[in-house]
Amino acid sequence: MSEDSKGLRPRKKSWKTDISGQQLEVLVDRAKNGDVQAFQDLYSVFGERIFNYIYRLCGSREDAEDLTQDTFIQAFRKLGTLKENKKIQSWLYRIAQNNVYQKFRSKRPQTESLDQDDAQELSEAQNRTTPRKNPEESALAEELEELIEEVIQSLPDKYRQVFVLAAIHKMSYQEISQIVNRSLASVKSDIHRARVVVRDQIKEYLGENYGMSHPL
Amino acid sequence: MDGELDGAESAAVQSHLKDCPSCRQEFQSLKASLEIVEDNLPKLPLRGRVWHEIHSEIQGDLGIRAPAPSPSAPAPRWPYRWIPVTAVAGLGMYLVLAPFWGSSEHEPDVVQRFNSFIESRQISSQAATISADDPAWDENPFRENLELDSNPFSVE
Repeated sequence: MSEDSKGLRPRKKSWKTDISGQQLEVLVDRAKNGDVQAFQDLYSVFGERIFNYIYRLCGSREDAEDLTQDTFIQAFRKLGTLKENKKIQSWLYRIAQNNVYQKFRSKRPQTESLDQDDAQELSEAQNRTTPRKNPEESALAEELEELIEEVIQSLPDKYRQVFVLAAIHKMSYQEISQIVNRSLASVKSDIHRARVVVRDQIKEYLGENYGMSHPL
Repeated sequence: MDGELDGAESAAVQSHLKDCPSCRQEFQSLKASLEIVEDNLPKLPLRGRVWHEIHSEIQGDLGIRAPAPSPSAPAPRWPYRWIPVTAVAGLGMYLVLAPFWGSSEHEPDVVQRFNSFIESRQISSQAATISADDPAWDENPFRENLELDSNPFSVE
């Protein structure tokens, strides 16, 4: 099987935004003074990534939407307590994570299968960023995507949160340490362990095709 | 792999990987899995209704639009909080003072109009009165309480 047929060509999807650190700090200042438009701009920058983070932690779109909503409402109300405006991103992620663990304190969140509309929307979102050539390629990529989702959801909580932040959200170890409130050493160690688990399962699925499209 | 190492550390690692096939293989393998994860997980789009809910809630917080009533809702600001108090006090004063307002000036006229009205009602009710000789009279269950010759509303 060719590397193309596995749909493994690198397709970079970044969470980076066009806004500068300075602009961000100004927005936070304005939002602290009750400027709703500034807060909406902050939501435009961070809303989708916070939502995706929550979704990767809890596995349910409905819950992720509700928790994103709670996170931003809470953020608006407590924005005055944020001492360093430049830490807005870590602060939002931390609120989001606390909300997830408060909601699911007694039980581990159950991954829900997406309903038909969600699945279609996801598929369309995927196609917008990663156009595929044929149905076979598309089917294989979907299969791989499902596998990755399952692998991530099967990770223990403390591995899953740091893995998602590092591998998908491209956060620095320092930021991750602040968000999960654990030592830098613990974060590094957990990220490595999570990577090994994820790598082993993907490798098992792809067999001899593993790594073909991603030479060093 | 994550760009976390500074220049010197990164150079040292690269140098080691060059000379150590097993570490190099491990590094490549981990890096490949990360790229697969990154490339094959779509960003889930966030639906517009989420912001709508957030916006509505924070507008309420700012008092731009009245929030849904809740036990924790703050008390309305002055002068709004005095509106119901003033209304109740005004009503009370009216009820207490109303009987004294204009009582002497208009009384004769009111009495006269009242009596005229009663007279007209008396005439029409007499015309409708059933005679005691009428057989229907016996069927009237209130007949013992009625005195046909005395009308309590009559005017002397």
